[in-house]
Amino acid sequence: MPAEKIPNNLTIDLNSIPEVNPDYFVGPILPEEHGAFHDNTESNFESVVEEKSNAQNNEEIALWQSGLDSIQQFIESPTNENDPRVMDILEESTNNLASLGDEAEDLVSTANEGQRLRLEKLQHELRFGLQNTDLPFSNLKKSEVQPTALWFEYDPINSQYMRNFQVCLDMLGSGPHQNNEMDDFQKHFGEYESALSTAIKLKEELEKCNINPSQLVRTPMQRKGWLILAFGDSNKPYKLEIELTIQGMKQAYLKHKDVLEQLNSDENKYPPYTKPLVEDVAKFHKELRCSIEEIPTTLSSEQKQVLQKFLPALDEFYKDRIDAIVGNECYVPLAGRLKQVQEAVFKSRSLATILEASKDLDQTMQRLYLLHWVAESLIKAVINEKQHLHPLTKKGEPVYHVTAGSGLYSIRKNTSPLLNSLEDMQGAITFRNEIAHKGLVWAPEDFKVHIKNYEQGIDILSQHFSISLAEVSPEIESKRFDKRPHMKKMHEKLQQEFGIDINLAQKYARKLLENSLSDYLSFETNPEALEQKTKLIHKFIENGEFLNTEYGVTHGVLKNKLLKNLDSIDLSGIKIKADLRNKKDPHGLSAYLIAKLINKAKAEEFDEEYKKLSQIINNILGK
Amino acid sequence: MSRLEQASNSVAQRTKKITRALVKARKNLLEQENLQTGGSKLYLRGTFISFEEASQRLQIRIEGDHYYYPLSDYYGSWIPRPNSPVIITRMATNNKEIAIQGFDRQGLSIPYSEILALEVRSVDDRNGVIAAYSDEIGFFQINLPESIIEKGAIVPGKMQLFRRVTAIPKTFLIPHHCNNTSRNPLDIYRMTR
Repeated sequence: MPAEKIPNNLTIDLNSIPEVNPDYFVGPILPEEHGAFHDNTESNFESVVEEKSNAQNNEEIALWQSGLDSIQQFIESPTNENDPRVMDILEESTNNLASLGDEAEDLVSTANEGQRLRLEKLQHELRFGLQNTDLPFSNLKKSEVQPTALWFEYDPINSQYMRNFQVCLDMLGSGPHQNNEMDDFQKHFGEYESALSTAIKLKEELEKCNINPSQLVRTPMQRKGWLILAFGDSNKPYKLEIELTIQGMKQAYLKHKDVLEQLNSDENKYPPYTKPLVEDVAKFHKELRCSIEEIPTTLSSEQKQVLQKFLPALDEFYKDRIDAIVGNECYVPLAGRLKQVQEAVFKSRSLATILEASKDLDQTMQRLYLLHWVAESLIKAVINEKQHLHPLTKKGEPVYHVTAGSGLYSIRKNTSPLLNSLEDMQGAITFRNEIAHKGLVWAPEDFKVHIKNYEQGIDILSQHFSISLAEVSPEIESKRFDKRPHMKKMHEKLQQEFGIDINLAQKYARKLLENSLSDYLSFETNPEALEQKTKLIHKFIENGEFLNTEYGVTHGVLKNKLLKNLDSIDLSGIKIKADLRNKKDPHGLSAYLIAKLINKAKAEEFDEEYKKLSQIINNILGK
Repeated sequence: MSRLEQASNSVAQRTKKITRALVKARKNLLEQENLQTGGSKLYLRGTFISFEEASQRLQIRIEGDHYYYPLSDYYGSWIPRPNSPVIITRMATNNKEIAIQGFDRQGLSIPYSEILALEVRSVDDRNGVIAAYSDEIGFFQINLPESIIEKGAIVPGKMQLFRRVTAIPKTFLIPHHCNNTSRNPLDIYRMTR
């Protein structure tokens, strides 16, 4: 209660009471009075003192009384205890405290339970848990699964109805167009329109026999047909799954908007850093509720736009997977079916094994990408052998600038018998390219057609030029360099103009090369800036020392080019400190410094840049 | 009065802060319970896609890729419908065998399959047909796939255990191997009933 909260032992601070000016009642002491004070008699003096002291006491007592009264009022006033505001506030606070206590108790109990559960789970998993190598992915291919179970049928009379009903559902699900698989059905029932009426009849008869017709649904096709029977629409339950996947796409798009816009806006730009994007897409791909090939079956126009924007991300993801299969650098490690493909490829590196291994992937987008990659490397091999097929190639040089589409077009042009026979393959390549770069929304049946076209085209090419696929081995490339055609062009220019071994450069001065290349590309539009840039790059790269030795970057470049202008510095110190800073790439620091120079150097700021560099180096050395 | 108000207000604010912290902590607790710890898993999650009668294979999508399993790995009493969830584990006793558990679309698990004891009376290799007898069904004819005839797994005049999986209109009988060799399989059969 409020009365209890005030302490019993009240002590009043005198300082808290306002002081009164003594001049108010005594008055100022004047020099004349001072003199009179000494001159006057004692009686006078006493009277004066008494008067003054009385006055003082009265005033003080009045003051005391007023202060005490106010305090008494404060303590004893009935309004203080029963004031509604205070009561409300106190009640609220007590209620809050009580609820808090309850919640805390609950939480402690849940935490204890949670920890207990987690411990149990951990113990359980430690006993029975599977490591990544033991996960129950099946190793069996489609053709390797053999029947092992015996079987018999329930009622021979009803089973015919059931079978016919399943065939009807297949027919309804596959749509009005005719398939080769449906020939048997067409002998019995005729066309698509009659399938609906027969299915309705069969459904009624099955329900009479106490058989639930929905139990007969066993494949996706039959499911579609069943949905047409039940709802009149095959796409109803798909919609929720597809909406959820497209929401996930939207979130991923908003997260990586900058990277995705860079990927498809201008081809001349330096390719962006896509590791976080690829990782996110891999997560998204794991938790998909429907397969990617089936997504565009039911899409509104807005959802289509979202898919079109998201397609380059999928492109990057699939390319990364292909890199992993072949043995290049990759951002996301493989698991399950693709790991088996990878192991098969590692055993014998050739295009034939990749083609065989790709058959396990069914008719999926992943398989299309793999086949495209196989076709591209085959076309490169063909052009490498016979240079007259392509105008720009020379003997002995690697074929960087050739893509699958352009290479195949030139081959078809220059060899007359292949012009018509490879038309389907060209169409397949354009299909894949439009998915990757132009936001083409496919139909799920397209994959079947174009995968066939790819395989036929590869067969024709290998037979015509007598190149056995077992002999062609895939090239191992580093991720950020040889990926895109414009980068390959830049490589060629660097090779021609400066005479660099790019393989060596990638090994020893990779950061330097990347940064210089990026600037080389970004200044390409300004011819003047380009000239300055080329001179700079020429200066730094012309000297072949730093390419040949591992520590050459620190010595060769810093000694010869940069440090002549700076104050004298011990080079050994730089070398040691650079090694200590990051042991993994010993040339990292010096390469970083040089790259900074190249990045920021323009003709005007060049001297300032030197000063900054010298400061940095001095700081590192501790001067 | 004003001091009291201030004090009470400060108390109220602190309680608000603490409640927020409590809500956060509760969320974190619930999320952490669902996390899978470490690198070890107990099972894989997948979605069932289709079942082919001729080759007796199940097609299942796991983490975006398609996989094929034989019917002998399936332990439910009937085959799930397409696009329903499925869990794939390894048997705890024998860490090599794969076991698949199916679910309804509502999330209820499909019950474990019944075990039948059959006595084979006669075998026709030409037609691929057996005459068999069981207590539940009586005499009936069973069709054999060719792979089993070649193996010679079925012996006439001997009782054997099977798991029954229904895929209307057919019912499949999967040979069921017991680990306890010391016991007579028929005893186990009676215990299961």
